[in-house]
Amino acid sequence: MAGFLEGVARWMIDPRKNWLARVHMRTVAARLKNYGLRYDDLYDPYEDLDIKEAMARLPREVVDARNQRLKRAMDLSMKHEYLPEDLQALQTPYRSYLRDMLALVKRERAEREALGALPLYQRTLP
Amino acid sequence: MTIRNQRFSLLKQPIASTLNQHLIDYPTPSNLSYWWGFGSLAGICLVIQIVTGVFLAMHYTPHVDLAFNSVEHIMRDVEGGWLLRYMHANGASMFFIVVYLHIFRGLYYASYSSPREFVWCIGVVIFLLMIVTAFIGYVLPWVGASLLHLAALHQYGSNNPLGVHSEMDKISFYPYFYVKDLVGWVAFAIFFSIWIFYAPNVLGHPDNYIPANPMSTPPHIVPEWYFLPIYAILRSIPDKAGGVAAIALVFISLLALPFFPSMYVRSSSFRPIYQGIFWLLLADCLLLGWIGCQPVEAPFVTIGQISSCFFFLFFAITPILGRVGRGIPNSYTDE
Repeated sequence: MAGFLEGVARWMIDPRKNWLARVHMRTVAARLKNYGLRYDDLYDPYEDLDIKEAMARLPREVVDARNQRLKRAMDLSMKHEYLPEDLQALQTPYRSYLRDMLALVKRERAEREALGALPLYQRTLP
Repeated sequence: MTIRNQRFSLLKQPIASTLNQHLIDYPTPSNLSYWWGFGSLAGICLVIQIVTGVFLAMHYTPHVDLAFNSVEHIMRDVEGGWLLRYMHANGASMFFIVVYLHIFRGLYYASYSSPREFVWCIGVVIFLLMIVTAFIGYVLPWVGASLLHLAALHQYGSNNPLGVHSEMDKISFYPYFYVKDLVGWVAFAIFFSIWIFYAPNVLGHPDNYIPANPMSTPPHIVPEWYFLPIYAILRSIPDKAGGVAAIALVFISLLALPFFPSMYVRSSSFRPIYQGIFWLLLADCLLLGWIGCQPVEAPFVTIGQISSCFFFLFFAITPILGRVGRGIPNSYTDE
């Protein structure tokens, strides 16, 4: 049953098999291009410490570029403007820089948990 | 050299430094819109309710045979009593308008998501206490809760309309957001004044001007407008205990929202499906509010039951969207 649901979920978000997913992909891409952001830029290190750890392992220029895109996006948002059309055409919203490293960090954490080791970092409350 | 930079600045001394840290130099995302002004406005409504409530209490008589006349005495004889009464009555409505806008802003931009779960949960508790307080008229419980809500918020700072990490573009709270909030406060003051001076009884019910008579039940009992959506959910369950359980489920659903599986994307700006069901939720809440003031007969009963189901469907769908949406980054590519 879990496998079946997993398969359905994969089909739902596969733009090659599902035209709704294609429409969704293009809609999200358009919104990201408006602000000159990539999908990975939306990941917040405050939300998940694994993201913070993954970003700490990335090259400095990658993190700097991310911060510059975010600062530009926040400036546009503050002014209620979008990026100029010519710059929007150059955007690559789904080009990833963080996902592979994040997957590695999560695999490492899962391995530590499976071996019974203490976590390297933990969320404080609140 | 500014005052804050001077060695012996008042703002660097013990208690004032806390004021400076949280209200003056407090780093705030630069792109907060006016939707972020309802929090401070809710604080102002709280102060208005407390002050007018205290002055009303000086003239109110809490006795079953004298209460109604004491309110009329306040309205007619006490100097400025009519203003106090109308400010307090309409202030409650304003408080709920502000808080509902604040809650829906939080839902739209997913301000409830990690790491602000505690902020959201305290807010839901404040909302519950507001409803209870409005219902029974007892003020004291939630002043401390409001401060805790603010302290929890300042742990990680505010969310922003893009829902992104905002550390790289923050500006000081004062003067920028003090001035922005001031615009909101003045607009609110004008809006509030219109209700107090031109339509003070529109949001109330005429039956409140009839002394209570245990021998004669009014034919069409209806609560204040801000209770109507929850009242509609209560009435949609035929069983009495079931209706109370449904109300409890409303607050349990709100409290559980931050802990549902979620995508790493927060704001509705980049979640078109969630954005769509948010607007459906808002329409459903407005429909529930309308149903709440209708009599318990067809077709209002059926509409109320369907609307109540849709309300809880939002909380059922949200974790599914979050769980399915986690796979999005791996399957979407640039065209």
